[in-house]
Amino acid sequence: MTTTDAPPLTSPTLRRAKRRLTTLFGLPIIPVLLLAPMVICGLFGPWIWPHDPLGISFGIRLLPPPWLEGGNWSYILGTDQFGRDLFSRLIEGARIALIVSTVSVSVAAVIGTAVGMMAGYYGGVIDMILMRIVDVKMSIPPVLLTILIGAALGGGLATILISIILVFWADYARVIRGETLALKRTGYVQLAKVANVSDRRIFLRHLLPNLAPTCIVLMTLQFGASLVIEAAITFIGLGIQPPASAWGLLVADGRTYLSTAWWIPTFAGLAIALTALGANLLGDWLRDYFDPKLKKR
Amino acid sequence: MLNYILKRLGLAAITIFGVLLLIFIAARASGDVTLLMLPQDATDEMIAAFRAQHGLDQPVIVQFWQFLMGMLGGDFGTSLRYQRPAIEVILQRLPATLELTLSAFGLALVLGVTLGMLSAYWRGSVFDRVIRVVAIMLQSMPGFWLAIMAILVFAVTLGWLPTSGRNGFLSLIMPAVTLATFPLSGILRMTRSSILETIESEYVKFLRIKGVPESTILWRHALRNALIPVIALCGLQLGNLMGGAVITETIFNWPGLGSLMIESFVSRDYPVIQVGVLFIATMLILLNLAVDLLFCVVDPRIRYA
Repeated sequence: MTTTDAPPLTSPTLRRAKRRLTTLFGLPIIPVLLLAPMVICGLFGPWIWPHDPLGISFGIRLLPPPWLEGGNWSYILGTDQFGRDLFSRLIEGARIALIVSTVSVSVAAVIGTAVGMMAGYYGGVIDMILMRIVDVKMSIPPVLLTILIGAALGGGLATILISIILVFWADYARVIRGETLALKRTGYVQLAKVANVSDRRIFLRHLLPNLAPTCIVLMTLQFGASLVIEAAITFIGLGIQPPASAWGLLVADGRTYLSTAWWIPTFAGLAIALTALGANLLGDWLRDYFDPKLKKR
Repeated sequence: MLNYILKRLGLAAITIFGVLLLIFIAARASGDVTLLMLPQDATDEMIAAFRAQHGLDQPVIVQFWQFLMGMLGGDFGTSLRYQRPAIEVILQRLPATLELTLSAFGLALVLGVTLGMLSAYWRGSVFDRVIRVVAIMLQSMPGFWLAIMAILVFAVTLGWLPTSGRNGFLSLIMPAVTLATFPLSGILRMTRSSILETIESEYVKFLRIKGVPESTILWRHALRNALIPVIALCGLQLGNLMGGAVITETIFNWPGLGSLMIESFVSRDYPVIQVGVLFIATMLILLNLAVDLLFCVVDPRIRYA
């Protein structure tokens, strides 16, 4: 995809270079730094957390962070209403967020890419049905879809995963379909067809490698979006249930103790916002890097 | 033109049919609809009566047909919690939601277009960089967290604004501003990139060669064309606003459609959820249709087959 030839100094090239610089102050290091804690905590949580995230001890309820009066350096971000260490609960929350986001985004990507490729390549009835389904999806806000599914399934992890997959797959399908339509007309795909190459081989060898950058960019951006959606669903009580320590749940808990324990919702929300920011920045950077035909939204 | 409108109306009808199908499937996905539709403490006789009354012993396809006919005939079911037609409950909550979403939308549109324009005009400047970093940060922040932080600062700590409820202008400020943040960043980013794209077009180059001042080019020529994709985006953002309203209304105890949906989920008032989803989806489909048709009128270059 990337060429090493010196590009002509036209203004779009300059603009692209400038965009690349300003989004990240020249380096993709910022998004990586923002995402790393979540991934590391998610993978190695039990070896990192200083206390048991579910360990209740009423003697130290609502302990503030150590730099405030009454704080304790053993509980670096304070404790919650059951005396559980907030820092450890955030680490445990990273694990839940990592699982939910990775699973939902990957499944949505596989389904969406497959459907999008078929719709773009074959056209006809498949294409028509797909675009109508995309229309339906676009007309129902994700949260409402979740309420609908949650009402039927009763909330919980399954509700979150199904909702996010249902919301996201259509995005891939729509974008991949558009790209496939363009790729279909290229010389090498036409020639492969003439050479009687099987459809399966055209899909895997000729289309998929060219669609990969678009897919990777979309997956990164949706990783960020899925974090926020997961937290929102959990926050309104349709997602992960207590006593698990999902980030959205911590914000919801903290709502009750807003005037006495501001640190609970503040730090939990910061964890969501910073991680999602990292994913969004990385997605933007990747988009400029690959320069696919994704429209800026 | 007429052909196009008819075609779009047909597509909208198919989409609404799809929404109905989805609602039907969602209800059946739970296994037994009776348990969804009836209160949890329903007796066996109630369940049997409900089944017979709604033909749940019929094949699924017959059930779907009856469901469809009921919806099209204006029979949207009865709210279990209020014991009134579900559509009445929905319509009663509508004004509060319209007040909130329209305020938020107006705010997002005015701020988004203005800041996006200035950001494009002074591209590469400190202002531009700050605005763009803020925009992407707003996009990453969960709306519900922003709302809670706003309550913490402006209601709990400073005591300037009420924490919740719908009680005059002051109570509208926090819900509307927090709800506006998400569409705001999208509109801002789109305005900026669209103006930058327009500025590089042939006719703008020609205006420059003619010696037309940069500000005249921006205001008189570039802006009009640059705003077309922004308007298209606004249609899509309305959906985001409705979704955001569910959460914002719940946090601020705003008595609108969104909080009604959550209340209905908690009290298992499935008929209201069904009608609510159908109602909001239909509204969004029609609004987007209106936006598209508006293009057709506003921009003579857009010729639809």
